Amino acid sequence: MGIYISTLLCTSALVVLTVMANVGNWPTHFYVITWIQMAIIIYTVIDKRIPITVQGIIYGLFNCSTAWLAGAHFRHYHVVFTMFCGIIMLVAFYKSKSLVIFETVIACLAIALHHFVFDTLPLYNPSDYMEFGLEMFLMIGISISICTNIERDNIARVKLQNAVLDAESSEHAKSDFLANMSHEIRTPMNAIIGMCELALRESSLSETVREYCAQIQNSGRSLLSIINDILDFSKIESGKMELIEDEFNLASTLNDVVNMTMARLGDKNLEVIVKVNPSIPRTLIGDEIRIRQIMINLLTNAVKYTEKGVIELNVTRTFREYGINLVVSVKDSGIGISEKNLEKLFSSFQQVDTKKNRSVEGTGLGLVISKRLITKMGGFIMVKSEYGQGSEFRFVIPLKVKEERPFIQINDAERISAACFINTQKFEDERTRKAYKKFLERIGESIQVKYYMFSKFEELKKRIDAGSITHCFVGKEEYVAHSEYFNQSVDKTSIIIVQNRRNAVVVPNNMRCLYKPIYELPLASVFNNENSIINLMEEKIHTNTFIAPKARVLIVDDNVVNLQVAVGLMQPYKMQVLTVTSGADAIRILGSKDFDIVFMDHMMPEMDGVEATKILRDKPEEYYKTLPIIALTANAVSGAREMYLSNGFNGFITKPIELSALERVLKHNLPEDKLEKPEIIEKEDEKRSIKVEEGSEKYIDTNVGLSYIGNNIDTYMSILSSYVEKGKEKVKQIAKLYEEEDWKNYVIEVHALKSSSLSIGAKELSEKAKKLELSGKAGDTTYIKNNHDEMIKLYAEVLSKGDSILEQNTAKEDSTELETVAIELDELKAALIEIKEAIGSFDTDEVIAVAQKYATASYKDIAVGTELNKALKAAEDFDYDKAEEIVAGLIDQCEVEVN
Amino acid sequence: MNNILIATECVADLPEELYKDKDVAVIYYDIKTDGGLFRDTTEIDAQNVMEYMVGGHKKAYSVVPTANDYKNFFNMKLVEYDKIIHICISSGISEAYKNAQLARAKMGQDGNKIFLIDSRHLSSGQGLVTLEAVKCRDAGMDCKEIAEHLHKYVAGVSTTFLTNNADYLYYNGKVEKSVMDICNALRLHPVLGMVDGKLTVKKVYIGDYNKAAKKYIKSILGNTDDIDKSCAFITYAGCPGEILDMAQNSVEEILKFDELYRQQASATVSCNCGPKTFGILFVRNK
Repeated sequence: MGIYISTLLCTSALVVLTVMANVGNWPTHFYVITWIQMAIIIYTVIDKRIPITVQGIIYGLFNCSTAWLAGAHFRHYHVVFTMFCGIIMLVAFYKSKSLVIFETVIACLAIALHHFVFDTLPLYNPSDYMEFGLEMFLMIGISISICTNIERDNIARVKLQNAVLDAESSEHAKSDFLANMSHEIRTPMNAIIGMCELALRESSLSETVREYCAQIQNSGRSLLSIINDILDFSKIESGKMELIEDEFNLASTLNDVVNMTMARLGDKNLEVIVKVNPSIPRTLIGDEIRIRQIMINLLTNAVKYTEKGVIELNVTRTFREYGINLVVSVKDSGIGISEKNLEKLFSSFQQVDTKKNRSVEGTGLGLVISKRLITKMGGFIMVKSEYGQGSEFRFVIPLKVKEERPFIQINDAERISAACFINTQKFEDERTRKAYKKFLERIGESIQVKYYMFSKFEELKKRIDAGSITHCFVGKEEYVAHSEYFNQSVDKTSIIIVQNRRNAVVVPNNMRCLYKPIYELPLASVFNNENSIINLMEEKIHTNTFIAPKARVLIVDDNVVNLQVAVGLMQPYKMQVLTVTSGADAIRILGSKDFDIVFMDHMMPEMDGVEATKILRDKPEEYYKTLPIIALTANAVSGAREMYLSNGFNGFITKPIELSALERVLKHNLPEDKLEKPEIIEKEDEKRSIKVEEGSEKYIDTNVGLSYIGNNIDTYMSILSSYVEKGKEKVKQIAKLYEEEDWKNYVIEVHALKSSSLSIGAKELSEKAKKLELSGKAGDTTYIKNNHDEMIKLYAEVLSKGDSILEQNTAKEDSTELETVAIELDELKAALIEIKEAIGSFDTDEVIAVAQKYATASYKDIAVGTELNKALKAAEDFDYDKAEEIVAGLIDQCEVEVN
Repeated sequence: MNNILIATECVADLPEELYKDKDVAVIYYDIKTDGGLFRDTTEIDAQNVMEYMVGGHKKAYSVVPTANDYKNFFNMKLVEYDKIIHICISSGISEAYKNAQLARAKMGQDGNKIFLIDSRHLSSGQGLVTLEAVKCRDAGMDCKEIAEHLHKYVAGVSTTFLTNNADYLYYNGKVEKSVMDICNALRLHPVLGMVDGKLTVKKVYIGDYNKAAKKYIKSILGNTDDIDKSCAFITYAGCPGEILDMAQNSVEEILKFDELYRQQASATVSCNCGPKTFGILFVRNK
């Protein structure tokens, strides 16, 4: 640009000066100057810094005006030549080679005509001819330059288009690949984690096995976390990461985050100090899952890179007009980061100081994902670090506020007078001692209760004996050293022992235990007498954090076995569960009965879950708009969440169902007034097992099946019975679909067979069904034809073994051997009322209880027990309508009036 | 005995440890982005601002504490201290001094305990005035004496910065668009400096930035006879390490300071000057 402008200016100045000075023959000077300009124009045409068209305009106008100023006649061939060059360059605007060539030919022809035919531009001497030749050469040269540029542009444009198409297709392929891999990897991973969860809930496990299961579960979670990181990163890189903003309570997030961090400490000699500002508003609006993810990433890194010392988590807020800025910092006394490495801290796939940190696991994606998420939320992340001393990561996120009430409040704070007797000198690391001391000193001020720190036992004793302490927090070592006194003082003050979960002391029944870290949230729970603390002395097991006996749940799945698995998992919650096997049935039943939540399978024949949900949401009544509907799916693809939410679902759970996800969904969606404190489940004294014949594990591994439903033998037998009974029809149906080559429905059937077989432990059959499903989806009918017979044969074997297991383990009912017991009318009425009510409220347990109670009953030669048993079987199949009919028939038969 | 607190603003660009060691209180500015309002230093730092503006191609604006903010700040500190000497950024380039005056006026009797100093400088220039105030306090001077001394002291402080271009100065309304265009077209690197409390273009270098940086350092240190060698700052925003190393070496070749701090500018200063900006800030004994 600079060259062009300056050359134009210089040459123009030269022309004007030449004319004014009248030096030499001006046309010659003019030519020379013009050749220089032409050379420059050709250069810039090649260089493409200025659009050719603009150059054409500039050149044409400039030279014409200069020539006119110099007094040249418009017929002067030089002016004509100049104009033609300008026109050619103007024509280049259309980027058409043929047009440029055409214009050039016209120009050459015109000039030749003027020179040789019309004689309007006569050539007088050889130098004129030479100049003519040079002009032609230059004009043709411009034309060639322009055409070359146009050609280059066209090639580049085509290449770019192809590259874009390739990139898009590659992007799709990558997304599809990742989605498939996600499904293929997540499905077994969830099974591993889920089975371990069920195993860990068993009280009969030995400590060694419990530890092994915990390790498997932790490793599974680590692997799942890595997979999730890779998927998240892929989403972020392709710009598809979406934030889901919803109301949330930070208390729940903190609880999970702190617990997960404590679980990761392992054997490390680390103290975790948590400091939380109680005035953070109770309900915030934001993407809670991502905020949790960021906090966990930072804390996980802190644990990974700190061998000993202290990790401090600090959560506070700044009030702003739009809500708050949530400020979270994670500080550790770990290895620190050098200044050089700070620059690449947030780069993908890089762990800093890789040689030193070879033993540290991780993909190196955690920080880059965290940073991108924070940036997407409109926030910032900062890091301060000193190599060898430790690091502090701090992030700030702007959030809106839904409810301003503080999320930590102490009821009757004025009546509380708390004492703390924890000796910070016991910590080996000096930084830990200092940090812990500082933390303990200010915590009372933080939660705004009367608070005293004691370093000497005698001083504490005096205050307790004086009756001025309501709550006394004692460290484990301090308790052990003075246990006799503390045991005797429980009537004077509430004693709370503060300790780690590992090597914890047994806490007497009349005391409470607070697991570290202590911070504002659990302290508030203690002061508010909330039952959130587990007492070590109780050998009882909490399998779930709530029950909901008044809640009504509808589960929709075309596969009966899947239904039974789902029902089995929900059993601990004591909810009233009804199941249906199609979307149409769900719509029908929702029209006549109210439910608090619906779990809807996605893939179902005829009407799938998405379609059924759409129909429900389109209904005018408010009930259908607000009814929580949760999708059940085995395909957790990228974008699934968004797809389900946009189709009217409130959320989704992947299959196999993870209990923590189920609990979270239930807690979030069930009405609060229907949630109750859980019952304590006593240990089972008897050990039951399933009798199987030798070699049958090859077909049905009952241990695998039991693991899916919490080791409940009765439920497993019920599922197996249903599987075998339905299987006899299913095997014919699949064969028929195969004969008819109805691949669409064939795939649906083998898809259902895959999961139902797995749930009873028929692993090999499940695997074969899965391969057939995938082949069907991929359109590989050859594979189906080559493998269908083998699968059907195996299916038949599995059904046969299933029959045999049922026979060996179910008590034979021989009604001729059983003695019937005649019952009176009143008792009959009572039984009928009980069972009728139980069926009406979908309470299968109650139906079983009534049927079993009156199993041998008879009334006027009517085998009441037999009929009740039939009703029971229908209820176990979730066919409550049929059960109702049977009972109604029995009522008619007995000719009694039951209201 | 009077318990005097020296206070300043985050834009004084002093190292954290100096604030702690010298017991200097700091009031923070805010930075406004598309996402929200963030407190300088504690919620957003210079690197965040650079990434946001340069990487994200977005604008960030500094927000001065309001009169209320100053009032709350002074009241909070008066619980522990008897008097406060507060050093403000130059009134010629910011509303901060005016807001602090308004706050003092609203404090009634307590307002008499507040002494406001218009530093006539910004960034570490303001920081140098703050450090001088600390020296005076530690030497036992009372507030009036300190204020009088500082009013004379500020004339000797040299606050200059070499910027890569004039883009951020234009974005923040400090220069006209034509100035920005000329600077970009001609690859000019302005040197900005505080003259009589106002930010002006003192010099312009043309061509390669590194060469311009060397020339700037040589020029600004100039006659070293009257330079106070006890303390100086190389304060920077968005500057790569190589340039800072070069700057430090260049300064040390000319003059050895007892304390030569390499100080990253606050987010507030950074969002006003843009990346690849650094300055040599020191005091001439007058």
